[in-house]
Amino acid sequence: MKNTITNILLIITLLNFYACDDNDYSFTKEDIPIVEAYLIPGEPINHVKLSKLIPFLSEDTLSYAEPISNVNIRIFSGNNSYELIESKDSAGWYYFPDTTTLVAENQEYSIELSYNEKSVSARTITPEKPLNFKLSQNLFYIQRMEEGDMPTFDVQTCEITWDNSDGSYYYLNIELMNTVIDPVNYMITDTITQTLTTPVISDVYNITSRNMRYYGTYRVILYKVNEEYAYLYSTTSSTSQSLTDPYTNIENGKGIFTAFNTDTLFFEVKEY
Amino acid sequence: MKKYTILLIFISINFAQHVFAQETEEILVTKNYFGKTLKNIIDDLVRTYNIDIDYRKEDLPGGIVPGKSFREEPLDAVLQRLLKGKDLHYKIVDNQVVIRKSDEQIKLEQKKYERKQNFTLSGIIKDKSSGEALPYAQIMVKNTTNGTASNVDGYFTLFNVPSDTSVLLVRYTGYKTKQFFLSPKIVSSDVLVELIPENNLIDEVVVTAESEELMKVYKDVSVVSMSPKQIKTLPGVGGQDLFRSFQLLPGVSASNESSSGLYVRGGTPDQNLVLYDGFTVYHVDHLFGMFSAFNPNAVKDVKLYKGGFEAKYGGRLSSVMEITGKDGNENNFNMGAGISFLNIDGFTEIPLGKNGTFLFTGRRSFQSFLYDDIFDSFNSDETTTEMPASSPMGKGGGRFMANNEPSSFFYDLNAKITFKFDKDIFSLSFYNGQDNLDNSSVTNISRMGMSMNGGKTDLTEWGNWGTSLKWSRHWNKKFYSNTLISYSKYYSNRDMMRNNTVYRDGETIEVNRGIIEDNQLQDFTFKMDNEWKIAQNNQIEFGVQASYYDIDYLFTQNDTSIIQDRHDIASLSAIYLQDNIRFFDKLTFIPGIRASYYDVTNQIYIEPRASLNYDLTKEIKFKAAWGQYYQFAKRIIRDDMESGSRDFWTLGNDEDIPISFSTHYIAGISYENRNYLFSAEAYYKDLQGLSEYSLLYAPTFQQQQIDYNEFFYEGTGVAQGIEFLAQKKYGKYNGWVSYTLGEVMYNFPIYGTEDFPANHDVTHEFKIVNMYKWKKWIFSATWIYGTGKPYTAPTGAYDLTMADGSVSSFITIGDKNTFRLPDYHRLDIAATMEFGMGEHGIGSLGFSIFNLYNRTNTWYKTFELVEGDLIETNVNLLGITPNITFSFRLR
Repeated sequence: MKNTITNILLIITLLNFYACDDNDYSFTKEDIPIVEAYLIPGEPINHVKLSKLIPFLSEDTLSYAEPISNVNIRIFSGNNSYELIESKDSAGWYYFPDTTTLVAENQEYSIELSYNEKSVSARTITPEKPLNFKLSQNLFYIQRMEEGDMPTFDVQTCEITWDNSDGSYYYLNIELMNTVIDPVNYMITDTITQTLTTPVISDVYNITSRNMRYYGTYRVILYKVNEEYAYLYSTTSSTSQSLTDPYTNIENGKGIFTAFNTDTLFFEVKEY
Repeated sequence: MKKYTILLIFISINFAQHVFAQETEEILVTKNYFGKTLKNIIDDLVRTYNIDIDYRKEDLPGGIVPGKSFREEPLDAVLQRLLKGKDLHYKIVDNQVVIRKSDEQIKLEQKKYERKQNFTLSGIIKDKSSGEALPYAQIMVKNTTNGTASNVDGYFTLFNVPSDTSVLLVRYTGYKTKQFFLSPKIVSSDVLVELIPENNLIDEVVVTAESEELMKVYKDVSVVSMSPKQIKTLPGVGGQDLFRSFQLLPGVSASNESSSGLYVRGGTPDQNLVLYDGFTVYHVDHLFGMFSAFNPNAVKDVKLYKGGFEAKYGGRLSSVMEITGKDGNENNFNMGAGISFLNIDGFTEIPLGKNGTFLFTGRRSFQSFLYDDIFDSFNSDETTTEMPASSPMGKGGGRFMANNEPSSFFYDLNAKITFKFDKDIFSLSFYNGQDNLDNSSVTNISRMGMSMNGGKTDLTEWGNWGTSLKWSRHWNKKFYSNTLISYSKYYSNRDMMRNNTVYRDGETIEVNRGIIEDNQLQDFTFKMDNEWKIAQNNQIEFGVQASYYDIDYLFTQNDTSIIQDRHDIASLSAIYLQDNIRFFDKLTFIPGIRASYYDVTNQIYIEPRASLNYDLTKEIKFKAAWGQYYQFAKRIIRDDMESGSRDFWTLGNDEDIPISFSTHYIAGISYENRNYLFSAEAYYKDLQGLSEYSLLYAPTFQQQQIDYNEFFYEGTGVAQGIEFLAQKKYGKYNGWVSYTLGEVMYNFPIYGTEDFPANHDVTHEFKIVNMYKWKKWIFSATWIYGTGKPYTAPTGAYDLTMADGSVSSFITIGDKNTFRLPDYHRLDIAATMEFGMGEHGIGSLGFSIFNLYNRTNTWYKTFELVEGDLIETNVNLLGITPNITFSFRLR
């Protein structure tokens, strides 16, 4: 399969050479850095990753992202400047060695690095911790349904609320913590234990008992994210008639440099 | 003026008498006639000795005259011998012979026709069998360069005809060329020239040596026509197709299987004005564009202006296609029907009294294997991906689902009533066509106290309604006017909703997701066109046009969020003036100007235009044109990743949607002799104010705060190229070879600063059209080759670990349209035979194979990233597709 694709790509490449004289610019984008950098208030600067694109058009069809090492990366905040160093164990991962320096809330940060003689940069503002994060209930009783049982249509709702007076983007990660799966209904045979929402400007999210498919403890993480992060969720097209580049806030690069803040709550689902 | 005319007649009479007096009496006939009728002999005498013999056809006996030989016998004696014993007598006065029955007195004074020289002749060109007037037929005085063309109603006026015994050559595409012998009697009133259609049936006696074939290139710059009668012998998927046939011409792109609209010289189909009996048609596709929406049975003439078009036409950037509908048979009732693997069609023509005609045609598709093949090939985006079988209920029993078979069809109807009086023609033309593609399915789930009814609606329907009421009047030989009111409506509705109603414990929950897209355009137009032939070398055309547009566009998602809800109303008023002047009998210069007032922008738009052609020799001609064009009503492409690109019509406003503007520069040369035509034309077209609508750059997750009008993008473009054509016009074998070297570069700042090739850019396009007549068969083969279309491809991918620890993959793309799909090529063949069915009518049988060698042509590609590997899928166009057509008509 892979060979066929390689061949097709090769043919396309050849055709491309044949069709256009000045086509070299279509390859230049391959040599841009992919930045994946997250700042989390209250934590040290330890999630900065640099890699190359997984190229589709080169002849040595790499199907993994090659890390970018030995780059000087600086993070700025006000008058402070933090020079990152590369992790010895994982190539392409950078961190600020002083782990007592923690990311502050509500602060503008910028990142700067130089790659291929081009200055790569981005900026973001660290959000505050979500306020007033609440669950309307933190214990649910659900009747176990065995084969032959009449189903009940009793629906319980858990209202998840938080403050959003400034119109920020939020999204949720609701996840079963138990490692042993115990479905509430004999018909549930899958193990889909996580619900991820997409970032919206909202202050409420409802889950009903129908979403609670397993008995156990659930963790609800509320992410307060920035607009540039939310843009990553834009749908991108996959047909040649309308391909577009994905969103990025990195100047001269791809990927994301952003910050987010979280708050966590738990609820439990028990047998009736 | 009147005085001048009288003087001219007086001079002509005198002059004629001087020259011709006594001549008829002095004619000495040397001829041998065997196996001829009396009429044959008389007609031959008329031709050979240039004499005017006035007789009534019905007076002459029909049988073969016993063989007769004349050797330098005076005409008088010849006539005596010929008419002896036939109950006829004759008289010769002033070079005119009058033959009448013996019992009828010959009143000489009544039979005297003025002899004319250098006079103005007018008349009408018609189809001999149906009486249908033939528009844009070519009329020439034989052995001169003096000529003219008939107008849309078949009328013509020819100035400076040298004498009343001159011979006219009358040509019309798809008809046998006629030599029309003038005589003092004939020219005494408006002449009627009847042409015989090129008939595939007969091989009887070859009437004339040459006949106009499939395609005609006009001497005017960039104008070409094709014969609807002959088009049916060309191969096609579902039989004959007007627009597909025009795509075989140089400068018109042929590799767009998914649109039958015309891409003329780098323009898009919406930049091509399509006029059908005077009303504008906004969408010409049937069945995903595989077919055009016009029934060839209803069409009399089609003319395409590839660029530099006249001031008479406005509102489009690139080109004009003018379609003239048939009026119907004046003389006899006619009807016919046809069937192919794709559709059935029928027509009827009814004469209404002495002056009227009525025509009705209809076509409807049926769901054959061919229809399904085409339908599937254009709905193939789903077939490559296997959808995971997921069900919200999990794997459960008691689940019943019923899927409806998709039902789809198209139809079109044409009707026309025409009344012709001495100087006036009134016609009412009506058209309706619709496509209905229904992919909906129904879901019924019921289990244990709960039921869910609903399903997926996937309905696409579009269509046109058009009607025009036309009054044309031939005021006199020099002045002709054409007044028209028309209404045209285009609608396109797309309903892709998944709606389910869930009933449970008395509770009802409605779930609606999907999109609804409705576009409706209405165009009310009044037009008046006037032609004033001042003299042989000077013709002025002027007119007014007023249009009122009412366009609605609604695009909603999930029942709640309205993305576009436009209600545009505008009026556009235009006047134009054009002069067609010929200098030194060699140079024709046509300057023109069009001025439009558009109430939305409250501005006046001036469009100056000019074209010229110069006859270097009789065979070699130079042509050039320049012009400026505005477009107010525009079709905007909306990129949609889920349901393919869609388009909608709206009005320019110079705010989010600019008024489009183009400038054409055209130059060409042609060499044409009796049998061959070679031509080359180069064009350069500058396009401003192009629009595109795309939500690709709009966030899809937070719709409340978005101003969806921000996603209209503006751009510019340049289309340039050169076209070559070599045509063998006549003979058993005829056809053409064409090559176009072209380029369309766009610049839309949203895609970056660099120019990029437009989606429809084709560098090389090569086409061969062959037709060969063998006995009752016509064989045809067309081969099309085009450089692959440009596309944008991914150059790489990357993964990001998201805030919650999940991983998302992203594809990065190269610069817009830097890659090319594989080259497009295709061979189609057809064989058509006409056969008589005795007195019952004429049958026609056609076999065709589309894409004979089953070339896999790529429509577009899809890309998917699966664990770091880019999976690329080609979505292909139609493979080998055979078709058989059978049709029957009374006459």
